[in-house]
Amino acid sequence: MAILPVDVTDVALAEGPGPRGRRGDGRAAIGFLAPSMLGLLAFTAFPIVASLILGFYDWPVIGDHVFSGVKNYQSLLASDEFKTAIINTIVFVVLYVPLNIVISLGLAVWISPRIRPRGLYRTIFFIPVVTPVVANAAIFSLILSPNGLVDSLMQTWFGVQAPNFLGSKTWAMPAVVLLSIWQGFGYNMLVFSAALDAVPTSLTEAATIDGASPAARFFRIVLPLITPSIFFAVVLTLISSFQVFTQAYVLTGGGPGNATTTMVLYLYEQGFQFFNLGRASAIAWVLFIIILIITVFQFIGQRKWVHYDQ
Amino acid sequence: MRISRLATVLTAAMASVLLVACGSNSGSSSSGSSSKGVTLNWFMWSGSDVEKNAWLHIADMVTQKYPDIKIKFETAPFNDFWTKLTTQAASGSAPCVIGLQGQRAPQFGNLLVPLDDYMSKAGIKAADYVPSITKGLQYKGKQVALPYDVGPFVMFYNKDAFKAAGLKEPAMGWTTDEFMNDAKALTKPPKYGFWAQSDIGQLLPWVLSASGKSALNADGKLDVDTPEWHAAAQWYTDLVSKEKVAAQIPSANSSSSTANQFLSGNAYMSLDGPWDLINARQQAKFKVGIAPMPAGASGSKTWSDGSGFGVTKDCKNPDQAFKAVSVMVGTDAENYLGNLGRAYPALISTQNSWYEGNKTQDVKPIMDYSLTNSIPYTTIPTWQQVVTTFSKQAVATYNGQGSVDELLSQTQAQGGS
Repeated sequence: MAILPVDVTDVALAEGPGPRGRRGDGRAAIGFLAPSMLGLLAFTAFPIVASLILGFYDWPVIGDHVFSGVKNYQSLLASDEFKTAIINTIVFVVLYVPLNIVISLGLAVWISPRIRPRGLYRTIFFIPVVTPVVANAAIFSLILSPNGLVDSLMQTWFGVQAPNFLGSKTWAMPAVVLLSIWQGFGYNMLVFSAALDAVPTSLTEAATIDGASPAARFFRIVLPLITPSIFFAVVLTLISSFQVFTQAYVLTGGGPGNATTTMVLYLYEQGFQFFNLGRASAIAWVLFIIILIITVFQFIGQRKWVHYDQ
Repeated sequence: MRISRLATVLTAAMASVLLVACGSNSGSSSSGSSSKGVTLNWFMWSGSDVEKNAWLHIADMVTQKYPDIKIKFETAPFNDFWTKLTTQAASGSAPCVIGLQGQRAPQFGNLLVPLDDYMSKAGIKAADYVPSITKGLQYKGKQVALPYDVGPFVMFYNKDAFKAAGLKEPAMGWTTDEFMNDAKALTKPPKYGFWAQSDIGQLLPWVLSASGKSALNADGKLDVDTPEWHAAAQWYTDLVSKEKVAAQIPSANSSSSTANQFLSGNAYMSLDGPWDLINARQQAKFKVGIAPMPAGASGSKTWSDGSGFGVTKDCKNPDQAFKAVSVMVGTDAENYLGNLGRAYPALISTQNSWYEGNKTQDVKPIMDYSLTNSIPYTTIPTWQQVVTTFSKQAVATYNGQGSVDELLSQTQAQGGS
């Protein structure tokens, strides 16, 4: 049960004996808020400001820090590796986000209406989400490596070798997408599942009586009603998929070549393997601006397809 | 009114800071001296409890010899070690004594105190140690760490597989052509004659043996975009793509290919260091032999590397820290590590402990020969960039999805100025 400080002061204002009471509660509110505000300042606000400043410096971890103006940004925009990283990230987003939404929505619809042990299915589908990415990736690399599960099965059944998924420029990115979907579909499925439950049965029943087919009921009634949830899921999934790192880092190390080096993986390499924090900060800001622009466009575009009234 | 509100905020702030402080009291109290003596922080990598316990034993040896020196041991897995060390150094709180690998000396050498004066005062002679690694642990001509282990990169081979194929086991003086013939005879997919890997250290011995060229030129600058490197890298690529005596490289990430193809019996030859020999002989379900690098046009050449301990400039008690290091690389500690098989001792007089303690007398001629024919694994300050870039592109190139030109020009670009 969360009491917002605004409510507290409003009550104080209404019932208290004038300004004194108001001030007293405000102080208490500040006191209660202080720990989390300090945490936000120290671990979020400060690093954001610091990284903005670092982006304009040549900032090795060990050694002298030299102001370099926009040099980091210039060299980034001129760098082929960075362009590759941006393209890889976009390819990942374009493959991953639609697949994730379709699969999680499909599963949510499937377990929604008449399936008996629904809670059980929800739990099972949610397990990959709470499993550490590194553990999932380790299993995936066992499955996809040469002499791994897929390769062995293909050799036994068809007598042909499977592609070297993680070591091939063609297959490495699909493998990363596959792992990400396995890791991520459960969360959106839960969101959609809850949204589907909130669809009033009276509406679908009325449509059935009017002779609407199951497909029409789903696409004309259910889907529009859950668009707010779909919007929520798309925004969050898009943001998180622009920040994809762990899957590629553990599964392919960004290779072969730069085939799976995403923007955040590139940032990690520059910042924490090569210890060039200025350049890494510049990458973070470029990424931030890209995500910001896309999210703004999504919020503008949502007016066309998201229905908030029932 | 103002003041009291400020006081409330400050009190809350203090309280939360105190709460945070309660949560972690580990980082505090580094090397501080007291009347009873000093406590020195010693930071060293270790991959298992067995290794960690060996280091803890060495720490006890220091305290036994110098009761006023207590050692606080800190550890991290090998890869994390360097990240943690860098961040600690950046905040000026590097531990007193740290482990240093020869190939990382150019990267971390300026964090360390030159030990030459300490050594002459204490009567420790660099000549008692294997020269290639004492040289490897120098930075700008100064000794910044004293070595505890060393090893030349050599060829591990599966004795049982050679016997089954009716092949003569590789021995001193075998050549690259013989290697290729053996590899072809052994290869029956999914089993391969050789285990190709994407690390640049795996290619370097072939370049050395074919041309005598290393990764650096005479001025100490990266120099891999050369005809010699091209020829060797093409030859190595052909092992995978053309001759098919080695399996495709599974992925650019070393951690996901930790499944050692040689130990699992999927590849019958592999380049490795003697630091892995004891472990390999315990784990493998076949007999493990070692041979020198096959001789190319330039003879049988390889690199050797090792690790040692140095004293950081952040250390407040460098005198005591050097005493501790002198015990860690002294006769008793080296004998102990050699016997355990934890290290092939860099201190020449103690090397027998490794052979006797691990029943490895059979490989002594090969070790001696390879050490004599090895050069230190010299690198540049941006070596980590070189390794990462090479490894990623090598997967594509070796697997036939990129050119040797790409591989070497991209790697050369990481050379810095």
